[in-house]
Amino acid sequence: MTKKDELNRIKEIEIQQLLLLPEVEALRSVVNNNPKDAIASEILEEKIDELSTLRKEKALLLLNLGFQITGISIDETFVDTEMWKQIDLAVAPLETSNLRYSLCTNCPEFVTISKQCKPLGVFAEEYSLIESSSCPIGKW
Amino acid sequence: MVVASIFVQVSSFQDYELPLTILDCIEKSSGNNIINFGVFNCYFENDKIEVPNLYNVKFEESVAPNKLGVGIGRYIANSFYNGENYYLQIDSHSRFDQNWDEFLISDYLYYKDAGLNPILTTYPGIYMYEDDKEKLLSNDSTPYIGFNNSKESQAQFLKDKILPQAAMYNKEGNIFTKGVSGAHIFGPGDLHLIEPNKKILHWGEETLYSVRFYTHGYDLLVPRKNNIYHLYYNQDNEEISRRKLPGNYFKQETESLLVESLAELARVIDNNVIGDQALGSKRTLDEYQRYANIDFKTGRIG
Repeated sequence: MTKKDELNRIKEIEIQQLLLLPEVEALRSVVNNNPKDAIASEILEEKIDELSTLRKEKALLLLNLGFQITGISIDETFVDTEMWKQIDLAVAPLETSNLRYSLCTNCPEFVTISKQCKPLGVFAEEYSLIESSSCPIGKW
Repeated sequence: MVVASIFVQVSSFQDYELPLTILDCIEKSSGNNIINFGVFNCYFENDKIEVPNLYNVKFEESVAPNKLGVGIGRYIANSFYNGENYYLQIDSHSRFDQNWDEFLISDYLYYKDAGLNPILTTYPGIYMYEDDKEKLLSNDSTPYIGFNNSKESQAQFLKDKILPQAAMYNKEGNIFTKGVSGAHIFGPGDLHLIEPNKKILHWGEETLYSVRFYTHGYDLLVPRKNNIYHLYYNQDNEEISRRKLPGNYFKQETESLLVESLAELARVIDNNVIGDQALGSKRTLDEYQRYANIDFKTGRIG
């Protein structure tokens, strides 16, 4: 995949995310108003997983392109190009990141509604992809 | 339906929008909840702004330049809190979506049910005047607040400790925000216990709120939908901004208060001061720095 392809794919992902988010919010309202609606709950879970998969793919693409993790997610808005060079952007081996994320999902600090780490406010799955990252409460 | 009560805290400096803000807030509320106001109104001697004379609006006034600064104003407005279930801080130039109260309470409970201790905050949407007519711009996005990490911003941050806040487009379903917007803070009634710092003129208010709320154990979260609008100041046209800025009329007093204000921020942060008008003890300043991915000592952001 060339850099241009990667950037195009990121744009596609962002469009998919933009389309998905309102769906997720609408489903959340349905489930909030009627927690017994099993079908809506199931679809909501699927959509959240879909968002999560897209986020992960985008994170990997951005890391490959040299973007850094800013406050919350890998965000290209305020990247200082000089700083990229100083940051270890190596991606952790898949087994490592999978193990890390499974520990996250069982952690009391894991916020299930958004799949984020509460002490860091980051998306746990993205964060676990970066070789140099570490768990704020020492689980990995 | 259970009736809830919301305390709305407003501080105003020669703002012609103040009465309209209060009336719009009442008019656009659902009618299902009790809305009470605590207001501080600082006005020019020869051009008084009238606070609406309503049973649910408690206020104190001063003639400028007496009691200048958003810190003292919010501190006084906060003192009118009277046991309400929820607390909302806004600016004196705000507008609202219909049923804003129901949306905010529902968002608060949604996060609470998810095991969080919510404070909802975001940059409000925009309203403006065109040909003397009020216009609300579409309010589809609800940004979270991050920090600009350019070299210049980090140098400034190192110097004055004010976090260079910026609206970040939330395209990935993030719920956390690293900074606080003084124009939109919603949380439980207990927020009144975190009294606004009297020495803050304006700059530094949001940085101090961010560290104070976080160290008092609150989770800084983005509302699911933006329901409040703000009249952003137009530097080129005071007329359409519909308010005055203290620095343009009371330069000497404002400059001296700014020095005092920055010194207060530095005092709290550098000395890790826990207590009245300062940090809480449920989380540490270091934990906030880790959460926000910043370092007050080195000026690092990100």
